[in-house]
Amino acid sequence: MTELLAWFGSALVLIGLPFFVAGSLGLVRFPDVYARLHALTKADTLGLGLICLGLAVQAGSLAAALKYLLIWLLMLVASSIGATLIAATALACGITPRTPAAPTSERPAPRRPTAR
Amino acid sequence: MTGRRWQAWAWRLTALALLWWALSAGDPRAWAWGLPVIVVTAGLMPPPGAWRWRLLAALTFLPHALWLSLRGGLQVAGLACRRQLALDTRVIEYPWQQLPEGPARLFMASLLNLVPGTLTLRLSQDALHVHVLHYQDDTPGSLRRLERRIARLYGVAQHREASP
Repeated sequence: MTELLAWFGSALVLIGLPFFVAGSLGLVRFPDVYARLHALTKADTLGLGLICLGLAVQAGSLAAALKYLLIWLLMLVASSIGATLIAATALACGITPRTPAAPTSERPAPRRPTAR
Repeated sequence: MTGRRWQAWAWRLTALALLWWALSAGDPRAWAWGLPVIVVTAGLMPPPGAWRWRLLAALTFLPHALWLSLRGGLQVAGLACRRQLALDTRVIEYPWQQLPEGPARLFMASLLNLVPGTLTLRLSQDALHVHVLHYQDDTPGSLRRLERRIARLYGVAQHREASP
């Protein structure tokens, strides 16, 4: 039974790892800060969740297992709130999100001089 | 009134004790430090407000949130690994329909970051500005469904619908 659990835990950890790779790939490939935040919050959270679950299954005691799940929960809250904080700050700094309609507008178009 | 206060204290002490037990990995010697810390923390925690999760709704909500997070991770991982990056990225404004101002809105704004394809850009008085990584026709509908679920979680659905 313990051996089976150890195998199951290792399998969960192995399944979780590719999500970190995919998250990092998204960080490199996605076009702007907002899209990159998507990759970081969602893929990494899922990867960490699977790894923590895998470690919790293999943990020696219930308290240790609970600790792994707690780590995941805190990371979930932190990454989710952090993503909105970064996105809101980027927006306030004037970085417009890149959309297919305006593929090259990394920054807002320069303001035309207004006649006084 | 005092009964409710005692109940709140009992909940806090139990939750904090459980937390300490997990943090100290069940080491019995750690309770010498833990007990005073738990009592002081319980005393410093803000009093329970009117905003509270409904227990039954929370029990059904938790698996749903985990499922959404799983799908979110899978979707973004799939998009990142695709050979051709074809993203239909948009910024949409989602007008609030049920949730009144307060913690419920903040909760939805934070949860959206874990849900497939959405990222909260800004919270405003009457709308939520959402960055959608890959737009689908169902996106506004899924936001509405999520808001309805959160309204039920906080128990605000009925009286808001009764008085639009």
